[in-house]
Amino acid sequence: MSAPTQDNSAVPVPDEVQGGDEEADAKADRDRIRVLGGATDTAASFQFDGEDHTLGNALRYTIMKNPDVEFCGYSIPHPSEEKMNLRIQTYDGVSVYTVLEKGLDDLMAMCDVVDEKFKDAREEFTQRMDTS
Amino acid sequence: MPVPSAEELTERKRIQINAETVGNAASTDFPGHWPGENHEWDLEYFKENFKVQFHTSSPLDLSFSLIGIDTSVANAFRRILLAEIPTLAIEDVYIYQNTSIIQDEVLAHRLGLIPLRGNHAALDWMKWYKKPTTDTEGSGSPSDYNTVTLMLHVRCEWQDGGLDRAAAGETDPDKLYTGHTVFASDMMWSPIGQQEALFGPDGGVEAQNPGIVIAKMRPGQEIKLMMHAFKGIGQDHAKFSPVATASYRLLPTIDISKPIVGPDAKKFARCFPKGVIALETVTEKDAGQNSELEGKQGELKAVVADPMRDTVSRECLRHPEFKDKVKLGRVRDHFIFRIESTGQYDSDHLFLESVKLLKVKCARIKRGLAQMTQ
Amino acid sequence: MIIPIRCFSCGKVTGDLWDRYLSYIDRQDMNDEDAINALDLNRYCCRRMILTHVDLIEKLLKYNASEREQQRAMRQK
Repeated sequence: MSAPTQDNSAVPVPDEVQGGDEEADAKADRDRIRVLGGATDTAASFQFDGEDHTLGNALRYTIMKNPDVEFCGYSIPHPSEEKMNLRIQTYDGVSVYTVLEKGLDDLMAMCDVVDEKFKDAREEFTQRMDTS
Repeated sequence: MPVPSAEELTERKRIQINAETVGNAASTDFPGHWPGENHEWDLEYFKENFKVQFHTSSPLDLSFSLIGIDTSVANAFRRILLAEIPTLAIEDVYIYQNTSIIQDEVLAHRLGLIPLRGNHAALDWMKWYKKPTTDTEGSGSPSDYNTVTLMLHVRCEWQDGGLDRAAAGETDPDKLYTGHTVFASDMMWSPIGQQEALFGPDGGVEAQNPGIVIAKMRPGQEIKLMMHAFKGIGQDHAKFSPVATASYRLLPTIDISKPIVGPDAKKFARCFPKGVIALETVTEKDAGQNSELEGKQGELKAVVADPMRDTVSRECLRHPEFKDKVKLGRVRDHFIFRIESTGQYDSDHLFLESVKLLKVKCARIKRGLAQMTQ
Repeated sequence: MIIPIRCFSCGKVTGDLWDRYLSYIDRQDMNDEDAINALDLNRYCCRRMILTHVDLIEKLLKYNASEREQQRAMRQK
């Protein structure tokens, strides 16, 4: 495992929340995720810096939706540390990294659908209000 | 591959609300939970089944339903709305003079809570202000792209002849003094650098509610201060939260399994908020179809009119006469959202912003993951 | 002491409502319930902010130098 296990000091969330993709700072993003010790290719715990239940639970849901996943769960080890641990175990030698990436992709695709459907419903509602 | 029936699916989505307990609370739509069924994530399936319904919409108070989405994701949107959408608020206050009876720290706290309004594009353009620390270079340097400066200078004086009127027994401060109440509208925006061009056309930065009372004074008292407003998020301080409340509740269900007729029906309707239960007359046809209604033609029976208005107080479960006749529940994937904005942004904009932010969070992790695995 | 800027529990702005509340009660003879309804305070957390507020600042404002000036002016009359 090439990932370092030393404790990187938490990057404050506000620094990168704004602006979306154009503000992408690859170096800062690198410090947001690391693999905890004892990981194999099919069972690993990831530690996310500056994340909480918001992403933790949503990501857990999309990863659990993947049939290759034997187990997925998240925890926040201590409430005053801005850290979130995510455990993934897979079946049949499927890599946890691809599973995690698929989980993120699925969640992003879901966001797009919600965005689109919300705008449609808003449009339809304003039209209905205007005509009535 | 076995496909569960429609009734089975509805039953799975139903959270049971019993007199003392809640049942079937966790979702089970995961691969491997139901033998032989496929619950793999399927975008097309989600697209088909996910619905948004608007209920009421005013710019600052919005109510809508998200139907067919998991709790974890709906909750993520709610959490982002409360704690992660950035807004502008006063953070640093430099007090030059404060002889009012409101103490400096209380005054500064009150100023911080005032919601500020400004051009949205300009607010997006603003960057985060870094608190001054010894080990970070470039921290603690207010600049036009991270700080909005506001000034407040109010002095309370006697009006012309105010003292005489006071001696004569007048007590209305409006007739005696000038500047006796400091309003949020007295805060003056003082643009720096590019801010004039960016915020200026929209009237600059000002309080969303100009009528907020900041302090009250009497003749001879004065408040003179400078304020620095920064961009921040609700996680750091509730004053940065763009919403007064952002909440959801699950759609309540009421199933009347055995008819409730006559005086019982009226009593039953009184167990719920107005409009939830309607009373209908039992017709010949009803009596023919249901043996329990035989001979009850012309009496009133309780029917469910609008379960959405129910507060799920469970009052009906306390009465023995309704035992085994009614089942209360909630639909697990029907979220009735209500977003009440504090005014900086419209509520619908805020929801779209929360969806965008969740996506940005994922994208950020994905970039970190790519960096780590390469 | 002075009307809080926001509701303690939910964050709704209440700082501009006290004067309106007083005008509803004094000038328009509304009762408390109608007045807080007219202010669009729906949740009980926001309602208590107005309903239970005691505007002590009006009393504390009495303790200041100008009040003495006023006393002096009254004595001279």
